Formats: sequence, structure tokens, C-alpha cells
Amino acid sequence: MSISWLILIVPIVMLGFLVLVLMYGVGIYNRLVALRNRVDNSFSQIEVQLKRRYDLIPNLIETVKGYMKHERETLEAVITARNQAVSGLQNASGHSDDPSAMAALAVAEKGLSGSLGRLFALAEAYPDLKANQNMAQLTEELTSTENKIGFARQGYNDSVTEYNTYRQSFPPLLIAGATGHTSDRELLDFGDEPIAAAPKVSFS
Amino acid sequence: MSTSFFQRQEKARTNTGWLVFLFVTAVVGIVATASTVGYVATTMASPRPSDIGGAGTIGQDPLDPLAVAMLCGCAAGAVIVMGSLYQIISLRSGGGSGVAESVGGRPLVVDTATADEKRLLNIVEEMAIASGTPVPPVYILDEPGINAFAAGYRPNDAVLGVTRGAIENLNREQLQGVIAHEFSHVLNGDMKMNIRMIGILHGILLLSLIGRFLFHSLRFMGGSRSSDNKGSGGIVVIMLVIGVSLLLLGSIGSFIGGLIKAAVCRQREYLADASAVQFTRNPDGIGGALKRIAAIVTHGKLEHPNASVASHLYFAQGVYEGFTGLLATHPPLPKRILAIDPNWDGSFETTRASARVGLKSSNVAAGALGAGVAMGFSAAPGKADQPVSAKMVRDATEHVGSPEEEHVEYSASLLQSIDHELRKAASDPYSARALIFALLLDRNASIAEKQISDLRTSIEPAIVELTVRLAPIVKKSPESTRLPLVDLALPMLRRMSSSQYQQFIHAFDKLVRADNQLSIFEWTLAQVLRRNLRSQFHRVSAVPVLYQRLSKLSSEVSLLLSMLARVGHTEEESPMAFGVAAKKLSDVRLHLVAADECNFTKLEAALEKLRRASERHRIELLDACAEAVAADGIVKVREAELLRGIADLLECPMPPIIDVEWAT
Repeated sequence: MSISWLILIVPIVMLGFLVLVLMYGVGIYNRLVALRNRVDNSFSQIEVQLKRRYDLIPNLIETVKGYMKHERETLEAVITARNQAVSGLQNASGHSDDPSAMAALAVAEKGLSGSLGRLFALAEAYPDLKANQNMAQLTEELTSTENKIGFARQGYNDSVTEYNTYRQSFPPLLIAGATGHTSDRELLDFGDEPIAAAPKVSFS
Repeated sequence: MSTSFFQRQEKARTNTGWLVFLFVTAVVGIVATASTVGYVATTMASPRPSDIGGAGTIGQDPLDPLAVAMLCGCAAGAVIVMGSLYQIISLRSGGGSGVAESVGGRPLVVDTATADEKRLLNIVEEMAIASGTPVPPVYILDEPGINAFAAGYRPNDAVLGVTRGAIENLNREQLQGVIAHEFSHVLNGDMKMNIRMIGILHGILLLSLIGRFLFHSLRFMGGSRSSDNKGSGGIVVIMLVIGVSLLLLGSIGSFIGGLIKAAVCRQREYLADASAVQFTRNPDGIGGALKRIAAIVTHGKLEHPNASVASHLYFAQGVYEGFTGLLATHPPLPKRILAIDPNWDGSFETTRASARVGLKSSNVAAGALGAGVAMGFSAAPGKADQPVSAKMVRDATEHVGSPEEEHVEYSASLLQSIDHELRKAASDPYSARALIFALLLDRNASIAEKQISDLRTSIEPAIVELTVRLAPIVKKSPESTRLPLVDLALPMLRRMSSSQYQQFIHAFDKLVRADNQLSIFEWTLAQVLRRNLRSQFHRVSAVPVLYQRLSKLSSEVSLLLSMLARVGHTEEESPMAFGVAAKKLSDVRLHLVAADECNFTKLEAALEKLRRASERHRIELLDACAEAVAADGIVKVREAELLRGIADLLECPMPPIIDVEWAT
């Protein structure tokens, strides 16, 4: 083979190789973007349910106020916790990449759940309240919303794990840092019961 | 004006074929030109034989022009092919949501929706149920212009995007016209064609990009070398020439490709407009929308930097595409308005009147809720086991892929009649799961109990409780609402994460297999759900048309018709029903399959193969199925819905079969 062939073939082959590598790289970048979008979308699903929960609480307080006249502290604790959670969500909204905002939200949510729990525990002692139609409906809606929050959070954590794993793996890690995917996303923990894993199937 | 579903799909297919042919010709032309240029450049630039052995040139063989030519041609061809394949694959794998997100769309969530957004969602649901397709997820684009798009490879994984401008500026009937237009794109097979087009065009574009790269990088090299060794200087000049030629070729190729793409797109736009009018029987809707777009300053312009990626997917011109209109993917607005409304006077005023009057469907809502005892609306769609007109069943295949105004009105009414609890359950991924489980509980109480206890071992208790709570409501609901409920729940179920999906499917499969006496209706419902959900979580490759004649699929067809013939007929009647059905497919050798030979596993396999027949034949097959079901002249709603489910599994979306009482 004459040298002329080599001189021509080598650059073209190298070019072809380069093109392939580039395309592969773009593919990886696209997938990183898609996975990150999924994380953001999952977070907005949590947001929806959280907002719903926050909206239910004033109604709950109104209903309960008449019956639980002497439990002012507990009621106020709930209101405060709720307001904190609302502002926590506002800060975190659209910034699911900000670990401190997310952490603050988690703390606020745990606080709210705690004070709500205390409220409901106390409500047990008021049979009239329990018989109230409105109360029953609100309780039901709150429970259902909490279930949905749990489910959405599970979905969010799944997508975060998927993103983090991909970002850390080879070869994506080569370009992740340079293309704006510099850090892992945080998992979200509201301190609630994890969605009960499917019970183990017993073979008895 | 009303062309049938398969005619339009075939038209889309021939358009694509023509397009591919033109592109291939263009590519061949480019490759040939590249080779020629390489040849000529080499011949001109290589050292003359008399120079060899002269001062300074050592052992320089003259470059073989033919070799260069071949190399150039191959390189050019390879680049185009690779580029095209890459783009097509990445578009397919990203799916509709990928496109939607890349132009800045965010998914619309029911709970936080404003009144306007909720109205949009209602419209989309009505249209989807009227077409017999799953409700596509809706994305909102934060843009002031009025525009919308439909993306995705197949009706089953379509997504819709709508701009904020559209939601806020259009009234209900105009918005409906726009959505009908987008749905028509989906049903006409335009999306598949579009993705192929983007792909091929991208391949040619890649060529010009490489040319540019070569040109820039070699310009510097060429400058420093040309002074010494004439031989290698010659090679650099060759590469330079190649670079420039690639650039030119690529650019010209892209330009021509762009022209072709634009011409085809414009044609499809007119077609989608026409289909939309057929869909809604209301030229004012889509006409009004077009006028509104023309009237506002920003028109349909989209500001997002990435908007041009999907330029041909939009309802109206979304990005600037040149003065002459030759490269425009959308026909000019005035022409479109004229096509819909030949008596148009040229003004962009939409009358106050049309702005007030919503489409009949919103009046339907008002009427049904109010004291409306008007004849047509008193019978709620599909009351219990009310029979459906057999004639309508037989004619149902005419409407495949071509829903009409009455279907939209019917589905609006149907949506109103669905129990509020069920609607709520369908609007959230968490509770949608329970809704699906409830839909698949057997009518027999003891079997249902077994199903529930199986559920307890495969999914969390709160969901089981919710299922138990929804079950009696589902039982009370008319049969005509089952498939629509699945269609409503699907976009929410798609939002699950992969592992949530795995868990759901595992529980779902257990539920469905709970009893061997699963009726064909439940089985079909389950299959519809599985198929439409799969594409979200698994790579589903395109199904190429393999069978041009049904005669090759005679055993599969026999099985399907045999199983359907037994629906609603006694064992004695079924041969008659089968015979009537078989007559519709006179060129296929069919035989009635014995009852003990029929099972769902075989049916699933048979449908898998039947999906690979061409559209025309699938519709013929559907005709025969309709005959099998309607043979004894009595068709219950359940049986009609079964037919619609089979239609979905054959990828022929069939609008609801409107029962007699409602239609009068």
C-alpha cells in the first residue's frame, strides 16, 4: 500500500472515530439531562400533594377549634408548623438541586407531621369531634394526601437514585462534571413510614 | 372530505416513501459529487510525474485519484447514514416527553391547575375518549404565543404540549379546534413520518458540520505547510477542498432537504386542519383559533432557544423559517383560514357570539346536570346491560381513527356521568393503581375475595383498602365507562418510577391471573393497560408491517374470530356467528377453533402477529370481528366495549359505539 493511501485513510478514519465518539457523548449528555428532568418532575409531583396538605390544615383547625377550646397550644403549634412548611416549600420550589433548601423542607415537614400527630392524638379524647362529619372527611382527605405524599416521595427518591447512579458510572462521569451535572441529588426523607414494602410472600 | 383512517395512514406512508426516495437521491447525489470532487482535486493537486525524483521530493507516489474518490464517497455516505440513524434513535428513545421537555414544557398536574388549565385537561380527555386512545399527558409551555404540538412515535405514547398563550387567549371551542388538529396529527401517522424526516435531514446537516470543521482546522495547517514540500502540501489542499465541498454539499443538501420537508409538512397541516373540522364539525373552532393567532402580535412564535427542534410539530408557525415561505413548515395563516372557511371575509375578528357560545359539549354538561330531561340526554350513556344497536357495531369500523362531533359530545356526557370518586382516583398516580385493580376485580364475589387476598401479598395495605372502597362504585358504573377509565388513568400511571411500575405490574399480573375463568372482556382490558403502559418503561421497537395478506395469518385470525364468536352467543350459535364473520374475509381460509383449544396465551401471541398486518387488513379484520360479536343481532354494551378493546390491541383506535337511545 502506498503511503498516499495511508495519509488519506488515517485522518478520515480518525475523523470517523471522532464523530462516533462525539455522537456517543451527545447521547450520554442527553440522557443525563433527561434523568435530571425526571427528578425535577418527580419533585413537582410531591409539591402538588404538599400544597394540598397545607391547604387542608386551616380548614382542619377551624373545625377543631370549636371542640378543643382548651388545647390552644397544640392548635397554635400546628399553625406555626404549617406556615413554616409552606415557606420551606416556597424556598425549595424549583430548586430541588439546592440541598439546604431541601433539607429545610424535610425538617419543616417532619415538624408538621409531628404536631399534627399530637393534635390527632388529643382529638381522640373528644368523641363529639370524632362524630363530626366535617372532621371525618378532613381526616380522610389528610390521610389520603399523606399516602400520596409518601408515594410521590418514593418516586422522587427512585429518580434521584437513577440519576446519581448514572452520573457516577463510567463513561458518563467523564462528561458529567464539565456539563453542569456536578453533584448528586439528595434523597428526601420526611420521617414518615416508608411505604410498606410488599410483605414477603410466605410459602407456608 | 371524509377520507377514512387507513387511507390517511397510507397517504402518510406514501408521503414518507416519496420523501425517503427524494432524500436517498439527494444523498446519492452528494456522495457522487463528493467522489468527483475528490477525484478532480487529486488529479489537479498531485505532483506531475516529471517532478518525482527532482529536488526536494522524496518517494512521493502520485495519489491515486480513484482511491481518493472512493474514500470521499464512502466517508460522505457513512457520515450521513450514521448521523441520521443517531438522530432517529435518540428521538425515538426520548419519546414524546423528551421533545416536550427539550422545548421547555412542564407536565400539567391536575391538582394545581388553574380553571383555564382544567378546561384544557377536560378538552383533552374528551378528545382522547372520543378517539378511543389513551389520554395523552399534557405539557404546558410558558410562552405568550398561541401554539400547540403533539409529539411521540405512536398514538400510544403521544404527548400534547400547549402554550400558556393558547390557554389564556382561546375560548373553549377554539381550544378544542386546536386540540382536535393535534389529535389528527397523532391519528394520521404524522409523527412517525416527522421523526424519520428530522433524522434524515440531520444526517445531511452533519455533513456540512464536518465540512466546516475540516475547513477551519485545516486552513491553519495548509498555510504553514504549503511553502515546503509540495507533495504533502498537495494533500492538505485536497483535504481543504474536500472540507469546502463537504460544507457546500451539506449546506445545499440541507437546503433541498428543508424544502422537501417543508412541502410535505404543509400538506399534512392542511390535512390535519381538515380532519379537525371533521372531528368537531365546527369550522369556527379551529378557524377562530387561526384568526386569533393572526390577530395577536406574537402570533404563534415561540421564544425558547430550542424551539426550532420541533418546528414542524407545532400548530402554527413557531419559529422563523425564511421570507419566501418555501422553507416554512406551515402554510400561511390566511390560506389555512380560507381552506376551512371559503367565505372568509379577511377580517381577524372573531365574533363576540362565538366567543360566548362554547361547543355543544359544554351545554351538554349544563343540561345533564340541570333539569335536562331532553330526550337525547336522559338515558345515561350505556346504562347497565342496555343493548347497543347491532348496526352501529357493524358500522363502527368506519369511524376508526376518524372520530366525529357526536363522539365528542358523547364522551363529554360520558365523562360527566362517571362517579366523582372514580374520577378523583384516576387523577393521581397513587390512587390510579387502586382504580385499575378495582376495575379488574371479578364479578363473582368469591373470586374477587381471592384476588383481594392476593393483592395483600403484593402491594401496600393502604392501596388494598382503597381498592376495596372503590370496588362497589366500579361495580355500579356502566360498562361503557370501563375502557374510558383506563384511558383516563394511563397518563397518571406513566408517572410512576420504574421500581414503582415493577411492583404495580407484579401485583397486576397476579390479580389478573387469579382465576382461570377471566372473561375475555377483563382480559382485553388488562391487555390494553399493559400494552399502553409498557412503552413508557420498556424500549418498544417499531413494529414493521410484515404481512401484506391476511391469508398468511389464517390460524391467528381463526383463533381470534372463534373466541369472539363465543362472546354473547351460546355454544350452538357460535358456528353461525363464526360463519357470518368468516364471510367478510372470503380470501382467507378459516376454521372454527374448538373451545378447549382457545386460551388467552394463544390469543396474545395471535394478536402480536396480527398487529403486523397492514392497516387496511387490520380494519378488514376488525370488520369481521364486529360481525362475530353482532351476529345474533343483540350486542350488549360489554360486548361493544370488548370490540373496542380488541381494536386498541390491533392499533386501530375506535371511538365509542354510541348506543341507540342516546343517539335519538
